[in-house]
Amino acid sequence: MNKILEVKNLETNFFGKTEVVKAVRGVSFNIYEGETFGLIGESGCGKSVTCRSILRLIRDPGKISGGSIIYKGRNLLELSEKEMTEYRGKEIGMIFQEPMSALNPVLTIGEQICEAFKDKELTKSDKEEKAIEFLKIVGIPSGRQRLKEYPHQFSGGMKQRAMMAAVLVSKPKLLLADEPTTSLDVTIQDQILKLINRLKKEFSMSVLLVTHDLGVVAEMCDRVAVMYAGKIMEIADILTLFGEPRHPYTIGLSKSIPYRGAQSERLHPIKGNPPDLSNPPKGCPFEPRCIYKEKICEEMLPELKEIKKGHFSRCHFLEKLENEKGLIKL
Amino acid sequence: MPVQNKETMLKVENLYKWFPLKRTILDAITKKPIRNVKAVDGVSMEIYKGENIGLVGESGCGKSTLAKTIIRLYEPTSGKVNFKGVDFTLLKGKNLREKRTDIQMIFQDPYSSLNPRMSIKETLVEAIKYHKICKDSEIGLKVNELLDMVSIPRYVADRFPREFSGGQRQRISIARALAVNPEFILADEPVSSLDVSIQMQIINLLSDLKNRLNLTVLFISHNLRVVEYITDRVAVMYLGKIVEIGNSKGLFEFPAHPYTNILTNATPVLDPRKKTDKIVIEGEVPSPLDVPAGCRFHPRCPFADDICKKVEPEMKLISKDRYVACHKPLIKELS
Repeated sequence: MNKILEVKNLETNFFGKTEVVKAVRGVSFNIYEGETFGLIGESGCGKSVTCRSILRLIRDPGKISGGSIIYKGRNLLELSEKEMTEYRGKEIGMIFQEPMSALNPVLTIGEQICEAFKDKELTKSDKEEKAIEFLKIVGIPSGRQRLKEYPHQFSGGMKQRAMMAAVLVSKPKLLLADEPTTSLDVTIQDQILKLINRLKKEFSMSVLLVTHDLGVVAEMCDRVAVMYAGKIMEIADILTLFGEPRHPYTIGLSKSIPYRGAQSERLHPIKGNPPDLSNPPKGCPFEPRCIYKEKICEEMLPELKEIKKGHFSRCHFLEKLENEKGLIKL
Repeated sequence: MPVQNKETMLKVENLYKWFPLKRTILDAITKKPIRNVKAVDGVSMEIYKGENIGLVGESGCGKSTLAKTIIRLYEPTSGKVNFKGVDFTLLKGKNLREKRTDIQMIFQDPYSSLNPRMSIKETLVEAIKYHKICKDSEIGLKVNELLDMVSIPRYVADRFPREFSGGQRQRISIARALAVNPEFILADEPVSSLDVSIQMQIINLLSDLKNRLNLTVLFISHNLRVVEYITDRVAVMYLGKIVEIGNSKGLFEFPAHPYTNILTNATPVLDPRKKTDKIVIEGEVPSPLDVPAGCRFHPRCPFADDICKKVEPEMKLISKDRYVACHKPLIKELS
């Protein structure tokens, strides 16, 4: 399989007046052609910042301070701003968590989709015809009428579909989806997730899916990276992650989700809170909340070690975790 | 654990809460009928003493409005709310104020439900003083007791809400609700804004406190997994009406109402081997301005036929503790 994207040692910091928040602290992963790669973690773990860094959408006071992002052999971080616009949309498209704030409230849906056509030859009516076509692809009927409507006239699910249409116009090869269904109801979430899966095949895209929901990950992803406090803690294919998680954080998460039939048992949530990233701990960031910790964890950050092919975990005591069970029985 | 001897604590009878739309002068002159958003559209249910009952449904189905109407944050359009023999909807002034200490609410967003200008201690003291819960000399003790209950260290009592994380703020909201010694707690999506690892901390805290203080809880959530885990019974709401009620154990496994079935199937399964490409249900929930005639779920129901379009189904007991409002329930009888 060919790599479509290679993120190496990415570092993104936010420079406040008195402190620097190290949101992404040396993240590396690959996305292969045709796969859906999941990036999961809790709020503030740096998953969205990683996603935005790929398109260089980090605004002041944030800055990408190090690493490289290789897309089809070129390092996006070395491109000029003008060259970068060639990649945004055309090669890499992005959909956001809150379709309400991602769409412009004072432009019609039609204007926003037509804006995405970069071909100067097309006339306005050509563009509209095409826009109607794309609305149909994403499942919005009576497109001619809806093109004239404003985002506030669309429901949450419909806005997310319209945003997908605008992204698909430029036929990107990689789709970044940042919590695309978090603000939606389960039945609408189900529709949107399946729409993304269908479009991924139809337009032969690869997908980077950022989410905090293990259920969504199970439904969508081929491989997953688990992030915590700006670092990747575990990378595995989806079955391994659910069947044989090998990081205390992943294991803790699996144990804190209620499942069918869990009623009579008591679940054991992870204790404590994530660390403050303006002053990240020297050792393993999960150490304060970890039930397997020993002295070394406080002092030394463990390496991301390969357990078996394609399964990596950042923990000093992998041997302690060998008998831990995941959410499913393999 | 399901409640053994059922003593009704709260009985809601035919409760309606409609929000009329604004009319222009022209509408009034041309005598256009008033249009209403039918947020709660005829809800009847009983809540037993000591149980934890869940209320699930999609956004806009009226779950929060129902809770706020029960506690009289909204005035009901019609209907009764009988709380321990007193009709809550008829209470006024001092009587209402006294009775309100029995029912307390925890809100979804701990960022907006705590006053940012009041320290944690001031927030708790305000509730205690307003309802005259204890002597002034005992207030300090009471505050400490409340903080201990929700595991917030006493020394942070003078800090302000902004200095706390989301999970801690929700703990403080719980302490504030408990400050007036209520018997009944309405928890409106208390963990929806929190991270997964923090969610379970709050849920375990809530169920511990429920057992310790012998509380009755109405737990509103759209997260079926959480609801199934912590509640004894569940009510499923759709477009302002309750369509199914039953024991949480079994309700999602063997749903009787097609809508409950759809909600269950749309919740992602925590098993990558069970994923499908099939969409669970097309379309969206209709507007509560134009509630469909007959069964309100019929336009989206895969089993709907003529009777469903014309006749609104009554709530029927189909088996032990399972009520469903459907002409063609998916299960006829539970063993």
